[in-house]
Amino acid sequence: MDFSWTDEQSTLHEQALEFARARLRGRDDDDDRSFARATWRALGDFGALGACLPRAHGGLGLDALTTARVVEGLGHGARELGLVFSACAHLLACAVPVAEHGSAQLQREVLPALASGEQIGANAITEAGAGSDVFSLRTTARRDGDDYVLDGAKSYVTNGPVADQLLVYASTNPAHGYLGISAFLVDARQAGVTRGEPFHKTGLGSSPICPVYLRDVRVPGYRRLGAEGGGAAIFQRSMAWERACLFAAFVGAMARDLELCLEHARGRQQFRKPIGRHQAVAHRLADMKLRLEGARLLLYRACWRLDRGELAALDISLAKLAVSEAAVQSGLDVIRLHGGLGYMSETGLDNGLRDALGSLIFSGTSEIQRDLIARGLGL
Amino acid sequence: MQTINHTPALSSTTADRFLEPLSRFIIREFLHGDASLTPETPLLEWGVIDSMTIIDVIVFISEQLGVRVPDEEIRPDNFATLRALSRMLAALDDAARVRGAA
Repeated sequence: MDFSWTDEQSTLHEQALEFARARLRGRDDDDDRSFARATWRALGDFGALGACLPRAHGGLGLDALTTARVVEGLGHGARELGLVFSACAHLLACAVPVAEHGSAQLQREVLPALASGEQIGANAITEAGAGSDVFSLRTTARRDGDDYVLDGAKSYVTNGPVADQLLVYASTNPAHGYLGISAFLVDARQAGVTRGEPFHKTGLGSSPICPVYLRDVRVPGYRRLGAEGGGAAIFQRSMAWERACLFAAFVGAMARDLELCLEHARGRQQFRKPIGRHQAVAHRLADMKLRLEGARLLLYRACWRLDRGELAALDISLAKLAVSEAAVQSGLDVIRLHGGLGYMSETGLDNGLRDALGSLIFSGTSEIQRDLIARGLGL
Repeated sequence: MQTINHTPALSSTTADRFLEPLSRFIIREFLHGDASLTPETPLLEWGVIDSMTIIDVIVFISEQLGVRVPDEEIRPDNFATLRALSRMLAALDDAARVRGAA
């Protein structure tokens, strides 16, 4: 067992950290208040938007482990995780499925633009009646000659307000349930695609989200990913990528949280000594370190399994659950350790907690992860 | 309809060699011991395969039958019936043996 990073992985991590510290500073730095498009393009130039896409299509060709290391660097350096979240949703839940299951024509058509950031991708699966029970979706795709005609409504589409390409999951055969779902890459400019008003979230503020409606949307057959009825497996695969790599951003955020708290614990004096010398504070910091390293190890083991082509579902669920729960606790620790200062929103010390709260919900709730872990134990 | 006979009669070299262990597993895990399952029972229409049970089936196939099912094979025609599933596994297993021998 070798826990060391290669020189390339270390360099990419350092570059990602520097990039994020310089450019991912929240909404303040960008002219467009609804979406930081200039920063998005910079992420594309840096390579993050195509990190694990094939080089032939403009990506960096990185494996899951290295992609996660890059994402950790971005999460560590970012002041707010919204744009990193958007980038990961774009890459892992839209572009990667196209790279793995799209037709050659579709890949040529969209992957270079997605890798560069010229186009923005989104994943559209969740519906009002299909959240954790995600495959009970009601959006339909009806075959019509060489095309499909899609109808339905998707409720929470990350990147929806700005997306050029929507990876839409729809039922092609309701009688087949789980294996009656197919995946389609829909051009968002297609007639019949409309977007609702963006939602305002508790955290991840620079990542836009809205509902998307599909009415008689005609999609050419070559834009179906994989076989008809193969959509659920494609979605599960994309969630494996997302749970493994996206959550590295929260590992990075936890590392940043710990740095912030250590600095404060060393500098602030109470009762004539640094607060870090008080056992209650020191133990809180020790627990932060323990959660960070435990979550990090689980996450990278899951990525390693994914790269080896092994059945990684159990490891991925363990990692996703550990990282998201630890990230929320870490965000709370930042506030508690900074006392009154931590509770003042002007300081931005609440950003970590706000961003982390969503991690308990998206990509499968903590409860769903526990269900999956239990099944992995044969229960 | 033919009911699966849980005897060693099914040759391990036939395309249906995975029928018996698959049947045992599905009856035990998802049908509460109801052995009316046949090789042609429509698994999808009967709701035997859903988002949770498919994980169990794939893990069982991998760990107990030693066959890895690629994502692109997880599609309705391969999971429509026990016979279709068994034949898909036999084809994957045969292909893996050929690769191993090469």
